[in-house]
Parts: sequence; C-alpha cells; structure tokens
Amino acid sequence: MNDRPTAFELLVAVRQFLETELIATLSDPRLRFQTLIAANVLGIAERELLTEESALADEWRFLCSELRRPADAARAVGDLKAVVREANETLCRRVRAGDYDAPADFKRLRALVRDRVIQKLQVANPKCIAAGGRRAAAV
Amino acid sequence: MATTINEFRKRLEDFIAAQLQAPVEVTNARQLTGGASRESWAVDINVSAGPEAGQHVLVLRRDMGGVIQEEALTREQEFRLLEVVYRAGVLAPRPCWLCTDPAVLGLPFFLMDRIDGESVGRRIVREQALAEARRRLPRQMGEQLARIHTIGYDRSELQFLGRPENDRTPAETALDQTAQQLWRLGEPHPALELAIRWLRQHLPACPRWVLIHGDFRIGNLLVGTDGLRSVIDWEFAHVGDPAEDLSWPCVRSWRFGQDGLRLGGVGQPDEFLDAYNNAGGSPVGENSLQFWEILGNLRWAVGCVAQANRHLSGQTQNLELASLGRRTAEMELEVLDLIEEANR
Repeated sequence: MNDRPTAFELLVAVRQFLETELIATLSDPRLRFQTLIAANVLGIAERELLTEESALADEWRFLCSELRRPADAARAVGDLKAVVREANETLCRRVRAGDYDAPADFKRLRALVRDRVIQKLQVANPKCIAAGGRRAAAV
Repeated sequence: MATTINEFRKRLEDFIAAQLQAPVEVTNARQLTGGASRESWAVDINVSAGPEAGQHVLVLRRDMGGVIQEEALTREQEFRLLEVVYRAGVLAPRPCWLCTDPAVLGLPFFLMDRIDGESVGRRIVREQALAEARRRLPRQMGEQLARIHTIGYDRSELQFLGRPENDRTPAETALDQTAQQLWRLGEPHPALELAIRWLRQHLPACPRWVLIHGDFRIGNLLVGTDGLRSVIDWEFAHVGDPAEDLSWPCVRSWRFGQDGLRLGGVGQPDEFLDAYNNAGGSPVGENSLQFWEILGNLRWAVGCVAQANRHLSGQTQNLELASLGRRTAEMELEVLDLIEEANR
C-alpha cells in the first residue's frame, strides 16, 4: 500500500496547480491552449480512476451475455482489461462479418453499444452526454 | 521547434529577396497552432526597395518531417491548388512563392498572404462582435462552396488530386478508406463497426464528381465582423461527391458546443444549401447528405484514433494528439444517434 496522497489525489493537485496558478501566468496563446488540454486530460484520468473497476465489470457482463460466454466476475482489474479488450475485438469481428445485419439484431446491439459509449463519455467528457440528451430522450 | 524558422531567418530572407529582386528583412515570425501534416508560421517582412516595397504580412506553411499523412497534399501541391482556386475567384489566400529546395528551410514550404480574421471555432460561434458575421455565414459558405465545386478538376496542373477508384462511387471509396484505416489501427470500436456496416448498406450514387475542399468547416474559415473572409487549409482537397463538402460543416464537432445550430454552430443547413443551389452548385439528395454526415462523424472518430496513435507510437509526441483519443466516443454517440434517426 502506497502512502497518501493517492494517485487520484495527486492528479487533482496537479490539475488544480495548472488551473489556478500556471494558466494565469501564460500569455502565449498556444501554451495556454496546451495547458488547458493538460488540465482537461488530468480530469479524464481522475474520473477513470474513480470508476474504472465497476465500468469494466459492467462491460464484461454485457460482452459475456452478447457473446454467450460464462461470466467470470472474480478477476483482477488488469486481467479484466485484457479479456474485455479481447471480447470487444470478437464483437467487432462479428459485426464486420454481418452477424448483426438483420434490422432487429442491429437495433438491439446499437442500443447496447450506445450504453457502453455513454459509459466512456462519463469519463472522457460528461458534458457531451448532457448536450446529447436532446436525442437520448427520443431514442 | 519554436526556434526553427528563426534559425533559418537569413536563408528565408535570401529566398524572398531572390523572388522579389529586392532586399528583404523578416521582422517577425511566430508559430501558429499546427495541423496534421504541416506547420504554419505568421511571418512579417519588410521589403526595402522595388515595386513591392513596404510591409507584408504572410503565412509560411512548411511540410512536416516524419511520416507523411497519406491523404494530405504536400506543400507544393497545396500551392498549385491555391493558384487555381485563387484565380477562379474563391475567397482564398493569395499564394506568393513556393520553395521546393530543402536546402533553404529543411523541407518544402510556401508563403501566402495572411488575411486578418478569426479561425478559432469556439470564438466564431460565441463572440458578440461576430453576431452579424454568423448571420451572413450560411449564405456565404454556400456561395463559396458552389464556386469551388464548379472549378474544373480535370486540368493538367491538378492531376495530383486524389479521386475515386474506377467504377466505384466516392462514397464507397471514402468508406473503404476509413474502414481500412480503422482496422489498421487495431483498436476495437464496436460503435464504429456498426456505423461502417450501416453505411455499407446505404451507399448513395454520385451523379457528378467535383473538386472537393475536403475540410470545409468552421475552424478552417477566416471570419471577420463582416463575415467570411477566406477559406483556408486546402490540404485535404480531392475529387469527389459534392455532398461530402456540404455535410462536413454540419458534423456535430464543428458546431463547437452550439448544438442547435446544425451548420457549424452558426446557422441552419437549409439557408446554406439554398445559397449553394442558387449559386450553381450540384444538386444533392437528402439521403446523400445524411450518408455523408454519418460518414463524416465516422471519419473524424477514426481520425481521433489515428491522431492519438501518432502520439502513442512515438511518431509525434504531443499532448493535443494524445487527448484526441478520448474524443472518439463523442463521435461514436453521434453516429449511433444519427443512424437511429435515419432508420426511423
């Protein structure tokens, strides 16, 4: 076990330094822009650290159900990442092979994959989900 | 990086002096935010004699080292294209001088007039001072695109332009290129696979090929308080389906947060399309526009994966490129929702 601050807390500290101290000192627009990006990607890493474990478990359950595999929940995060990736590759190959071309199958998978995309956006850009809500409500 | 041009200042001065047959001093050079396959510099020069005597404000565009992006024009090609479109009366920067001798600045480059205007999308869609410009933009964008699309691409000086493979439509060619690019990158994206599958089943015909700008959107247009001043960034020009250029500025990312204004966060597509048609643009069907908007989102999604890969592979280590990898999901959401709308 590492000492505090945790990795999450360190990321928050760096992001706050960029946002509250560094940016105010920068006059070069290019450097300001790059620094805003830096703060933004630290925010992504923070959100990922908080939610990664449960998001991977969700995704694994979805993929096992879709690919008709027995779900094996008792996996460490590192291991789970590898199997989720492999299962996603298998799902991609099936879509490519035309396994979901029938309208009903396509519609069903589209909705399930959309849930996974929302999960990714909760980490990458939560604001984008709110903006897309206009559509989400209608779907 | 930031010092490169300054290191070469003397050689740049000598090159321009040779073009003008007059003494030239570079009074200022600063790097502008970069692009995918070239770098840009704002360069101010002072010419002290001859017919061009005085201050000139220019942009220098130089090829970038490393792996060249497959679909982008080289600086030499971009310069040749600018000569054609500028002569045809398109609002584009006047091209000045091309240098293909790598001994001067290390890589080929050209200089063009620097036009005053805002190119940053987030500001164009928001700034109070540009409210009148936003009102004019849909019509102006339609008119410029009509003018671009009526330039004959089959002339000897434009033979380098990419065009659809024989007996295949521009849509099919573009979809194949995008799918192949995604598959080469090797990252699993079920949402993008679904989009590729759907697009494959909805390929539109293309009655007439035209010269395509290839990146015509807010962000690549210089805008002043009076509206559109210049169409820039021609490096993705090619021959293709007019619907490609008409749909690209409607892609959600290029609304810069002003989601309700489907044309680039500044207006509605109807006004833009009417202006395009009235100015002699090619007739384009609704299903073509829908197809190309979804393909546009797919391409930008794959583009983001590719840009992140440039960073991850060590080819071009850059934070902005890295950050684009996490924007992919935004376009995934958009393609899935657009497909649902189209299927209704």
